[in-house]
Amino acid sequence: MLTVTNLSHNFGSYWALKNCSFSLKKGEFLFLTGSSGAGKTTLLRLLYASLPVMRGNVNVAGYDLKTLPARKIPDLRRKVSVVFQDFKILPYRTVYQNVAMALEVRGLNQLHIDRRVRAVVRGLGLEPRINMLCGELSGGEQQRVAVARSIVVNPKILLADEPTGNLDDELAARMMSIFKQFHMHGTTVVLATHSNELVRMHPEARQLRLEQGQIVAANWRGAQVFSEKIKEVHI
Amino acid sequence: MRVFLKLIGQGFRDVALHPWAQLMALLAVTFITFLGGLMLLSVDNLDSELKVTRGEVAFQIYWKNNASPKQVKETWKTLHKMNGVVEVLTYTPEEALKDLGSALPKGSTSTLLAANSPLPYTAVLKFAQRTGDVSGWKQHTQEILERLPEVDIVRSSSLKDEVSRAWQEFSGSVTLPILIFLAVILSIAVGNTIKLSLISKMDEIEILKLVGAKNWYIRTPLIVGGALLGSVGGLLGVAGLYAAWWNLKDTFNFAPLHWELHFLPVDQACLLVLIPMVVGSISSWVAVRS
Repeated sequence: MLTVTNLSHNFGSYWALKNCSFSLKKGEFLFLTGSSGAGKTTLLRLLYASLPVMRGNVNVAGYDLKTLPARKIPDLRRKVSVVFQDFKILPYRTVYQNVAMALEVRGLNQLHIDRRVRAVVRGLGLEPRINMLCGELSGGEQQRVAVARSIVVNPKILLADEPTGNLDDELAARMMSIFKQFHMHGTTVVLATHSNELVRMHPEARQLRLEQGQIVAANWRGAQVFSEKIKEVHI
Repeated sequence: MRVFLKLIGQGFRDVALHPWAQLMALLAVTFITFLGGLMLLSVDNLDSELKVTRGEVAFQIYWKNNASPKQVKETWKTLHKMNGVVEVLTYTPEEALKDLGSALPKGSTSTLLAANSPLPYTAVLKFAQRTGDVSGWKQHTQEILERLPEVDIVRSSSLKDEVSRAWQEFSGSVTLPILIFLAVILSIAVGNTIKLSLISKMDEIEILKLVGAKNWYIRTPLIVGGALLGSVGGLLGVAGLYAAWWNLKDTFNFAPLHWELHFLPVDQACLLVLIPMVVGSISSWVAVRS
């Protein structure tokens, strides 16, 4: 479902990722951990073709991102959903409009869109806010809108960048249970976080630790650890 | 189709995103259309006015001073029977002098000469508008008229012909470049406004791209916005032009000119709306292409 081979990426002279290799099968759940600036967001951006693959190879949901033409990127993004650290929602649109947007671009009929949006919004506890403008919501509610938009399309792969960063413990736990539900239905989930607590609560998940753009630890054999201090962690 | 119609609706709604910028661009399109229309209106009116007289050839015939009145009057009768003649004006020496005298102050030479007019028998012969080899026909007719009994001189209105031809050449070579120039200004005005819309919608466009929207989905509302700007501006420009024409149509309608201005033909008026719409769409497409 997701294969990364010798992936490196630089911004000028700064190498954000160095020789990363790992693979995930369908329905696996991966925690991408590391301190701020370790390369988690860069790796996620490469996985949804927001950055071009310059060195190494990336295959996501059957798409070879190194050779993927620009016109095919929308096709990839219809299979890969992303939850962003900064939410990326439109403050001047309602909760409903923000969530429905992901389905509307696929040209689905309005009845289907309506049913799905309401179900997901209800599941995330946003039903009372459905007709409110997103700019009027709290940070936590906005984050849930971002999650709702990404899961409403039933993606094959779900990428999330610090999705629980702005939530209190209770909401974070609720959000994680939603991700887990998706995972149970066969969605591959890659979740970047710097919360060790969150990782510890889900010991069954795959874990991959980045430091200065390198994979320095992994808890399964599908990842190649490149570091002088090679170690395999089992939590 | 439903999605496409929805995107068109989105394009209409998005006009409200930057009302002032849209209004300024709308005014620019309106003025440019109005200017273009005004130019077309002038060219069209001058053109048709000149066309009326272009093929209409007038001959002035002067008889010899000692020509027999009886002979001249017999000849006048034959002039009416000539093919294509629309008007024959005849003047005896006395009538010619009287006509001349009406344009001069009282007590002038014409009054004194009333009893013994020095002017010859004269006729003005007007032929209907002709097509084809006008100059060949004119030459042939002039020769016929010159062979009439006791005719001294025959003159034709060749200057009018030359002026008409020169005007046609001038308007033909100037109109198109000016219209192209106005279209370029139009496209810059609309293109910049659409770029502004694009900048204000960057967040939305980024999100749309991230959720898998294809380029046509993102571009359609913006292109519709450009087309809307062009067509509404074009309509307002034509409306302004109509109002200007309504106020000016009788400006030259006085004796002896009697020139009533007419409005643009329907096809040209439609073009004045269609061109800004097409230019608006194309410039929007160029603006959003990257």
